[in-house]
Amino acid sequence: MHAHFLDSYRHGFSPIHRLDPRVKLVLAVGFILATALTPPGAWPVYILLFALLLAVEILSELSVSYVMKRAVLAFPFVLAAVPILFTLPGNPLVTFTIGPWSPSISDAGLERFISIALKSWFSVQMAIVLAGSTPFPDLLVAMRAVHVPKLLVAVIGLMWRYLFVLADEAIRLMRARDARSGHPVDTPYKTGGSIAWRARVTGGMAGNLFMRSFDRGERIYAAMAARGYDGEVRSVPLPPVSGPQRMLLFGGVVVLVLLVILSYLL
Amino acid sequence: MHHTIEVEGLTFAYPDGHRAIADISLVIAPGEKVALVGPNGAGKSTLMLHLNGILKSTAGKVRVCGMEVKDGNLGPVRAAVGLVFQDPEDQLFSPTVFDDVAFGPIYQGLPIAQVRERVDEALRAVRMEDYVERVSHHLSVGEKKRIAIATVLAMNPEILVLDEPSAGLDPRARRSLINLLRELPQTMLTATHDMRMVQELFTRTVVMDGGRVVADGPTDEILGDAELLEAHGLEIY
Repeated sequence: MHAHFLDSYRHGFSPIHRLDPRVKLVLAVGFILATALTPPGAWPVYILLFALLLAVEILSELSVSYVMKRAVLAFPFVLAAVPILFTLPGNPLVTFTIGPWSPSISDAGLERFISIALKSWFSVQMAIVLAGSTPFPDLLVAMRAVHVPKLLVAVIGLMWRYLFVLADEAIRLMRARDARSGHPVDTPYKTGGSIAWRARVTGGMAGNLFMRSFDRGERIYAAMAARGYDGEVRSVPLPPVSGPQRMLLFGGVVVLVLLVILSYLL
Repeated sequence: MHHTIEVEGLTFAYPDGHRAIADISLVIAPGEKVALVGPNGAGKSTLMLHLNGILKSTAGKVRVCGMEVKDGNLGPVRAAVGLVFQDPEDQLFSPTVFDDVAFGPIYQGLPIAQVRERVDEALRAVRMEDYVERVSHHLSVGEKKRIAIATVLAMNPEILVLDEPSAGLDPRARRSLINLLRELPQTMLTATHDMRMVQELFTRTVVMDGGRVVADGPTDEILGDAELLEAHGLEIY
């Protein structure tokens, strides 16, 4: 049993899957940037962005509902924007009374809150399409190609590699605990132990996992050093991006820039 | 006397569709010591995880000590079957040896005096009584293996299921482990690649390959069948 469920990549042969990962990465980050740059309340542009997003989702064959369901992940972060509802000056819509305070939701605040919620929802969906249609190693290559600092790419790569090892280790630990969580058929005692004891066991497991990760880190470093690692991350050069894909990249960036300009003109 | 393992038409597929074992049937009598051999990926560990209800079968039935392994029955099943994992690092998840060996008994709700008794007994059985207060992290592999066995002995299981107990041990640690396994009275099913240990310790051998049982019989007969061994990538020495 392995922790494959952590891998968001879904194998496929859609046009989006076949896109050069470098083009995909730049366009996805470009889309997120463009979305972030639009002013609050630019509803027509939001609709255009959403249409673009939907088109990409349908083309990617990842299933729109799958992407949207995963994008729900963004909602807790949207909560951080809740204070804006109350702090932005404008015409009060609803006023609450809590003891000596009477905060009110302003129309400007509501507009900005909905804008932020929509924009973060779009951004997360695009990130999910990117991760769902691109194998992670390809993403790392793409990051390198667009000059993300090499060390950062190496750290992200190692993290990805060992996340699964760590998750597997956690699964095995829990399995070992379950295997010993038994009791005789007709026991006179209350089984399961106290909550405090169980918490202590779980804490011990977490500490154990930390120690092992630490040890493993040391061993990995030793293995890297043994093969000549000197702190410098080296990699093979990449082939150039093909002509049509270049055109696509260019076209995509132009569309995104136009959308941002449009959002300020409207 | 009912402490047997009865496996009937057991099939298991992982969620990704990979079929790890297919249509396995196996009966192990009380007190029998059985070796389970086969190449890596034959499904030995998968089979073992079913005996304890850790994995849930896709089809077929498993009964241990007369109890069907199913949800709602897992408590008694896990008390009856002591599962010793291949990597003692997985088995030992508590800070000290005492905490680890005491886990099963405490979970069973035994009074503390009895827990201590169980821990002492289990550690004595594996000849590690001086290690009670030691930190598991600092033990050698051989010591960890013994403690791992003690952690299930403390639960007074009727059946011991061991996954590659002699893997990674030096000759002396391996020898003392073999002696320990010989002394233990429980019904025993042991997955291993250590054919010499099989020859020495187990009267019956089951060969698995590709998720199926391909041979089952007296150890002498199986180990004497050079053709069979070769067909399934096994060697005696």
